Amino acid sequence: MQFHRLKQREFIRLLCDGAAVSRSCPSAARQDVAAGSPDRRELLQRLLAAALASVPGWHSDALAGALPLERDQFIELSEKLCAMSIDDRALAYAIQNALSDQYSNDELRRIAELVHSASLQDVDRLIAGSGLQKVAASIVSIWYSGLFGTSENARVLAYEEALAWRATGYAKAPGTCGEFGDWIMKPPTARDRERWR
Amino acid sequence: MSDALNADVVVVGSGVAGSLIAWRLAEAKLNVLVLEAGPRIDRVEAFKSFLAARDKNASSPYPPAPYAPAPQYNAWNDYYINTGLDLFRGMYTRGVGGSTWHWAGSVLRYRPSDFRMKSRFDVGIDWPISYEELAPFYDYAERVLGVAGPNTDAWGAPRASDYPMPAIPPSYLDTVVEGVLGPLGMSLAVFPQARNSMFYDERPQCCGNASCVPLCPIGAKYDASVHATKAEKTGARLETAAVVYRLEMGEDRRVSAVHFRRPDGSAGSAVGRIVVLAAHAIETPKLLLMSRDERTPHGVANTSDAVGRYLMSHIDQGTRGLTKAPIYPYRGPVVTSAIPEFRDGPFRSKHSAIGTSVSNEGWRHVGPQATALALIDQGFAGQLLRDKIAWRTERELTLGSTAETLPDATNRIVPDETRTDAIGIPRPRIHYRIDDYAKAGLSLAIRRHEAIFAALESTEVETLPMVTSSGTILGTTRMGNDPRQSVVDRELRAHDHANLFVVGGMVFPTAGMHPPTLTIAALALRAALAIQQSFAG
Repeated sequence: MQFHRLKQREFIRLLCDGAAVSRSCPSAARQDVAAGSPDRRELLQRLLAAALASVPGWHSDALAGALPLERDQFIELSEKLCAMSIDDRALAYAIQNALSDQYSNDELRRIAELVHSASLQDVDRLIAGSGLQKVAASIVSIWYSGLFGTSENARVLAYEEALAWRATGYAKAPGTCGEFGDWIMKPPTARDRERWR
Repeated sequence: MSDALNADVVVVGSGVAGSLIAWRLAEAKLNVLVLEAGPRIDRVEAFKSFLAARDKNASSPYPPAPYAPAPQYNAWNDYYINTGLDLFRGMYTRGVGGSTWHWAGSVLRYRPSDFRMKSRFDVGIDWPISYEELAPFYDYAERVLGVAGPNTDAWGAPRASDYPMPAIPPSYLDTVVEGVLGPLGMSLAVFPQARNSMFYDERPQCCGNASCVPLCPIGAKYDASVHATKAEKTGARLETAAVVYRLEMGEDRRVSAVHFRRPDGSAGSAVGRIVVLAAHAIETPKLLLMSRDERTPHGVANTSDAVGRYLMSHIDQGTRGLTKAPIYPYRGPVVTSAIPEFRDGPFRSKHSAIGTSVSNEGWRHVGPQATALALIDQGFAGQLLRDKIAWRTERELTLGSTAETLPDATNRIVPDETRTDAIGIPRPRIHYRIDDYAKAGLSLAIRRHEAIFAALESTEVETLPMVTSSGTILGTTRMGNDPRQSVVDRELRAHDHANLFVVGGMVFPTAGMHPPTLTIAALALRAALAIQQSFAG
């Protein structure tokens, strides 16, 4: 395809392609993706849990330790550790999935429970004394960098959605459009950056 | 030769030089065949490759085809075989449109003195053409590439016409830096760029992608696929995945056939009344030196023994630091302004001219992501991490200086017959040493960087390593009037072979110190006229 034939909708298609849904992706398309297979899988997990719970001899605590965190629990955990609001459910699902290769459900459940009722100010202190620093750093690292793993085989889970860009309050990832001349003025900063707090 | 492809003109390479020539000659109703070693490059596919890449560098969107390997960023010796004192990092892309896919788009003309280094400064060698002879073709090149520039003489090259588009405006960061330059005896001027500041040549206005080097998502930055497409629409044929490996010489010392290899190892050939080599300053001399037989025992066009020699780069060195006040980098084109001083003067008899520019790219390409990883590694998380990323990102400044180098016969590229690529073609072996001329210029430049950082009350100021530029490869089939010392004449026709032209940065006798692409384009348009006239005559 040549440049002059590249229409806006083709970029929208491109940016909405795949599991990690771009912020540039229009909201309708984002919802389509977010409402896709990940949530169905969660539903199946819940149905399975309910079915198992009805079997005599199954203890509910044992069941809770064996099952993955529910999506909302993982998002809450991520928000606490990153000090950022997270509304990208599809990306949350991809990150949770990647983490499950490296950390047990039990470990993720323990850290989620640890920070569940903590205020943002207390999170760092709680993690520091918990023995869960490694999993905490992994979660923060994926959300902020979009990369899972640090070796040459690191997986790219997100790019422009990586929280590092949002943390700057004004910068965006190379390869994404803004507006002509948007580099001329001092960007709107402090108040804008408060928006997502 | 019955199966050979036939054309009036066979062009090898579809980068900026090859595509412009193919377009002009197709417009002149000549039958043009372009042989491109690499594939067509699709903007959407390139963008996907970029998104999927772990390292978001200039090579990321353009992974080379296995049959047409090319040097990759930070993996230089996967293709090059560097044997010299210094690592040669010249990067290029083999594919339709070539390396302009990831160029910065800065398009300064060379200055009149850049063409007269020997007579003015007693270093290097003079070009066989003057600025005045090339000036009309600079005007033309600026129109066909589409240049947005300031109509000032800050850049030292007299202009007969206005730029076709208004300048790309400077960044906020530029204005902060400019504020401290006056007392230091420096100033800042806006860069001319091959980037649309308005709708131009059926391409859109720049959309504020930051930055433009790996890929322009909408084609607002010029790349040579523009003229490859125009050439095809005008009737030129473009064969991709045709890796030329040998030129065959006839009894009349004219190139009688161009032999190429396909990815599956099969062979093909093409015959043209004129053959134009436009395959960059590494692949072109490699091809000439590989084309040895009893008629050309030292390779084609090489009675001077200059083919592959006088390899030149620019030498880059930067300084980075965190400014006291926020400057908000990571916005806008890579560079919007630069320091016009130190680019010319009597000092060039002793040390190189220096081009110092102010980067809009912060410390590195995907800086905030790297900053986050470094901070997390130090134990930061939560609110503190977020604030720290913002604080540092807002203040990251890099000043980059570029030095010219002098031609040196021992800086050289040769085909390595013992180490071949996936389809059995020799890889480039390179011997390169950074000269003292450039080092002396850069040591002065670094002191100026430090003065600017001090004036901006900066912290964490650090001088980066001196490296050969990844964006400049010049000189390996240089032009000149003397056939004993040069490969092509002032029209870019090989001294040794009447139907062979060589076009691109490889014909530059000296490196100058501005980015070479506009000069490559102007020379290509001038050569196209000479080729066209040779058919008329």
